[in-house]
Amino acid sequence: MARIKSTPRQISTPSAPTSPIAVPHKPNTHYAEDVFTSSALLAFPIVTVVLSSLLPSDPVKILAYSLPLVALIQAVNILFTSPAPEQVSKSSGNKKKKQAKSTVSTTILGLVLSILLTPFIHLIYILFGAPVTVSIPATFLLSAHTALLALFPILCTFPLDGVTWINIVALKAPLTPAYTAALGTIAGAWLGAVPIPLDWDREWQTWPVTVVFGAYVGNAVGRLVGAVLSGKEKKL
Amino acid sequence: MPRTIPASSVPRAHKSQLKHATRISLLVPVWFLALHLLALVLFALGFLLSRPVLPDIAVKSASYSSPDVVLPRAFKRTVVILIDALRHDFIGSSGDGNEAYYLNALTTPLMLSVSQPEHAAVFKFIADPPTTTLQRLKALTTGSLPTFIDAGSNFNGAEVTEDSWIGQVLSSRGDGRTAFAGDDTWLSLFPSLSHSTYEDNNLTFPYESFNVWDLHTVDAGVTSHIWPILERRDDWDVLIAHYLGVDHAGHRFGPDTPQMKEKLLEMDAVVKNVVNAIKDDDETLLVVLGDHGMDEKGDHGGDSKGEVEAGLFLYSSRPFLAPVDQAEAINQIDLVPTLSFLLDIPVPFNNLGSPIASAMLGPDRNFQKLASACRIVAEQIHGYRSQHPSFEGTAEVAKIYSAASEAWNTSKDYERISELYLAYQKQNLKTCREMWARFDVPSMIAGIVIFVASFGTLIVFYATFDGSVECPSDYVNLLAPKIGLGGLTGLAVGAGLGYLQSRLVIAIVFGLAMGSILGFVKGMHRLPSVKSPVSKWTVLALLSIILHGILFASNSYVVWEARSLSFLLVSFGFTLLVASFRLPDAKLRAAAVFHSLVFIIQSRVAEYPRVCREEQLPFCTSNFYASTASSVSSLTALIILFGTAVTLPAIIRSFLRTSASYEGSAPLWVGTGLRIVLLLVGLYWTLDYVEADPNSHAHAEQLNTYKYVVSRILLGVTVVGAPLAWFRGFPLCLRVELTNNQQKIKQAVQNGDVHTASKTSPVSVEIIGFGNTYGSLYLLLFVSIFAAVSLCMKPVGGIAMAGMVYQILTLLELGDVLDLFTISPIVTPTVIALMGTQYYFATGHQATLASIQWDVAFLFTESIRPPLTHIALIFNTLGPFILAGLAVPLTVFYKLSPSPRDFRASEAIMGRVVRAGTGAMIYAGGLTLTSCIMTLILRRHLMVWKIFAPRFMLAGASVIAIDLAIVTSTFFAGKAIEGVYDVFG
Repeated sequence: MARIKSTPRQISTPSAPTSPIAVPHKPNTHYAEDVFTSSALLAFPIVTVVLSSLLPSDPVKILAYSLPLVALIQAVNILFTSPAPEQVSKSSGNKKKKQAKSTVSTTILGLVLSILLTPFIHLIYILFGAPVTVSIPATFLLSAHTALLALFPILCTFPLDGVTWINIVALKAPLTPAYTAALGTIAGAWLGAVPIPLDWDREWQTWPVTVVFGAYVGNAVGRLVGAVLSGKEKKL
Repeated sequence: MPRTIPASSVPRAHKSQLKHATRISLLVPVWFLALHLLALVLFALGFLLSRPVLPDIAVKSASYSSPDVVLPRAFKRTVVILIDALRHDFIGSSGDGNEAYYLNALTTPLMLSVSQPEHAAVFKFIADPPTTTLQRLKALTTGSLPTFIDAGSNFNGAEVTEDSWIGQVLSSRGDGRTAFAGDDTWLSLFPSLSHSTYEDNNLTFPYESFNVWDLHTVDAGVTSHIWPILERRDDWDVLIAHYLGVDHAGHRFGPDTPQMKEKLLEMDAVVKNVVNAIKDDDETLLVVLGDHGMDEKGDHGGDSKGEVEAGLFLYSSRPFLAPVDQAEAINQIDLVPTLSFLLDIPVPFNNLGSPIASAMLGPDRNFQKLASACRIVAEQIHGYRSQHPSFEGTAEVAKIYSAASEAWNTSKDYERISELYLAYQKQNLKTCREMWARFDVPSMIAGIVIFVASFGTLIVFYATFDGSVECPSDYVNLLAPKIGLGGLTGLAVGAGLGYLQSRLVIAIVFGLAMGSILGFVKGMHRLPSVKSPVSKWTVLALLSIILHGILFASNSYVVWEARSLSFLLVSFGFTLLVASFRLPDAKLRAAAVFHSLVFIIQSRVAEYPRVCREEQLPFCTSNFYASTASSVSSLTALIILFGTAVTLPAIIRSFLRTSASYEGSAPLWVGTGLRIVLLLVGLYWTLDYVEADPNSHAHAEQLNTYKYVVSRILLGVTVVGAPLAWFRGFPLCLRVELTNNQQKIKQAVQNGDVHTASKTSPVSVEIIGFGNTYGSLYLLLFVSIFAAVSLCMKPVGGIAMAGMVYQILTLLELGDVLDLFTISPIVTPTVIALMGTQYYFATGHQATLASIQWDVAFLFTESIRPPLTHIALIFNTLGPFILAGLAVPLTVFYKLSPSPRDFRASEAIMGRVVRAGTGAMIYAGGLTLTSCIMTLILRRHLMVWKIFAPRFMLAGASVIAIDLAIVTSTFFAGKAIEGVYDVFG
């Protein structure tokens, strides 16, 4: 089981030769990482603001149009900040080249899996009370956004094996930025449902505007927490 | 035979000691129940205004025939056009055309009152809040002040039993002299209005007021019916037309909208046409009125200016009015005596209004007429006051009356006499308002203080009373005297202080409750302090209480409570899921994940069956009945009900089999007994379904007989028979397996294994189901009460209750696998109690009085007969709470095996049961406490009568139901513990 964490704070320390088994503690050298983490931290509030100002007018349209953009931002973010799980364990040879290549394939795999898991997230939204027979496009697009925000980075940065994923669901996985962002997304989406029943008759109360907003804000907060925690081996 | 070990082997002393312990432990839930009751009583005394309703019917007094009495000439016919939510400025103001949409639309009344002031007048028509149609109609017909509960009103609460001008018209002119078109609320208030037929021509055309979003159906229907009625003017004396479109336009779009303008223009045309139709007829009076106004959003219910200021317009082609100032404001109840004189009927007995001066004076401003009318009304009010016990001690009002009467007898200054009588009426109204329309805030706060103190006490008790360590009897023995002494002291002090302050009831109740709590606090010091770490699950339980309580802060969340609760329960289900994934053992993990998923799905499905409340429209579709406009269940529901009758016993069996407890009495009790009972419940509702079919009318009597036979047998079996059998027999779900080991020993000897041979006894006894001895035993009693509740539920409700049992079992299984019962004994009782509220909604109820399913009152009997009627209504309304309370001991008993020959352990189990019970009481009490606080804060909120007050009443009823169920279940649990000790002790 290989668990890789991006550890920007350890960048300055020379990478000591470590055994392949001690993977979780292996520092890696991604100089671009700081830049991209902070740019992602910036990008998401911007996306949030733009989305939430446009959303109430036509949620389905805005959610559909913004989906590729969000996917792209996430993909770039993953490509430049996260090492591919399998590659780092092989700490020998022409590491950089191989790794970049593999990360692209991992990212594509993660994106495909995220899309495939979207109906599953749709089901979870229904269980939490989303309408079953109406607003199906809205809920589905919400699920797709949630998948991109929460699942996509995890799928790319965590190995796809049973024990790891049991730990992820059990909240026992290490608090990497991808993981905290996912937890933040879930918490944000949960809180986003709170204002819906209020009888304020506001446009932004239409389904699923508040939940999208909550998910994005939660994601940004989660990233921030992840960035602060990164480098520390922490679990919930 | 379940009893394998003879009872005589149990030491008698231990047995009686255990019995004493279980008995005395009951004091704990009883005390908390009493505290909750006292708190509720105080709060409700301060909050729920009630007014005794006198059944007397007025007759014309001697004064009518007195020579001095001159009354205005009466009309033969009256047309009452009620435009729902007609605000005063809709008809009483004019603009220059560039102002709000609602101005300059309904202009006919104002134009007529200006051009013909002796024929027409517009008044500001002030309503007493609550400004809801039902309460307004009662006031507009009886002349009384509205209160939340009209004490003494009849069984289903809707029909007006007080004297009213409608009733007077019907009795003096005969049934059928009325014509009606519009909102069907009138017919539920006055069922005799529907008798109006004349020569087989129907004169009654009710329309449902249900669909707030339909602006035109009712109005178009009313308009189409009133023209033919107006033409046949000899067939009726009173025509009532109730239009709803303006109200609906207000609710849906708001007053300042084009839709409202369109609606008002339509109403203007109606008024204009009616005026034209009666122009040539000086024997007809036209009354156009609004029952209430609306706020700027178009809603109503509260006491804001826009809501209470309705409009009134009077017109006749005969001059009958003294010209008035246009802005004159009169009370809505003033219409009642005025109409009584203009219709020549006695003033209704409970009337508190005064005659409208302008209509009494007449165009010639004859003060003798006004004085005569005022005298008659004053007499009527005086008579009412003398019948009413609560008016004692208001001598000042009576003084004005005697002064006025004296003036009448001695002078001819009718203007002054009128003034005196009107002053009397005004003063009387003022005292009545003060008496009935005022919250008693100190009493409400006293109630809340008791709630807070008892909540704190419950938490302290729960935290310090660790049932697994201490024996409940020691604890209770130590505390009970202190609590009793404290209570008595408080009672005495309260009585003394209360007597001095003349607030005896509040002081006594408050003193009793707080004294006992102080006694508890004093006793607490003697106890060793227990420091147990607070688990995350306990935090979660308290959090869910807080989250549920916070819902009461907003009317929206109260309206959407069922969905909010489903959201909370699903969230809890996902927490269970996460916890399940944390289990190290793969097999256990898989089982727990499965049950968590089932729990989540159940929580979501429980939100599905619903009867929508008015405020939820149009975002809600009722699916509880066959259609939104009926209270008949659908055939599909019946089929599913039969399905649950077959499957639920199988589900229970599958849960019992996880501990091999489907043994002993279980197959007979659950597999056969419960299944037959549930099938019979299905049969009952099938008979009910067939009976509702109009084709089966001919066999109604036989059907009824069968129905009552089935329902009474079921009630007898489930509430009396099965529990009695349980108490007498303690049907343990165990099987004793004797294994003959001779063969084994022989084999061992042959193999030379001497050790095995000597260790193995010739016969080994194995008790199958031992690991769940308590749980399976208690479950049998639980399903029996469940069956009774299920019978009292409509078919969809019965299905929901089966779902509740399934969900409780799922939760119990999870509690066992995740070890919740020992980590946090409060979390499962809390969630079960939360489910009680969730399933209250799932059984077709809402937090409104209108959602009470009154028709189940006739489940066992043809007429109202206590206690059967009450059992049916209580089980129907509070069944989910009762079942939740009864399920709480299962959180201790589930998968609990006895400790043979250890009566201390048995006592400790009792302690755990008591503790789990306090856990559920913390939830119920905390919830009611928050409801009380929110109701106190929001008592002037415009939605208080429609939303917060009914929710408070539900909270009050549910806390008592859950508390009582906890007391009962603790008693049952004590019996189970004794029974098991008898066998294994």
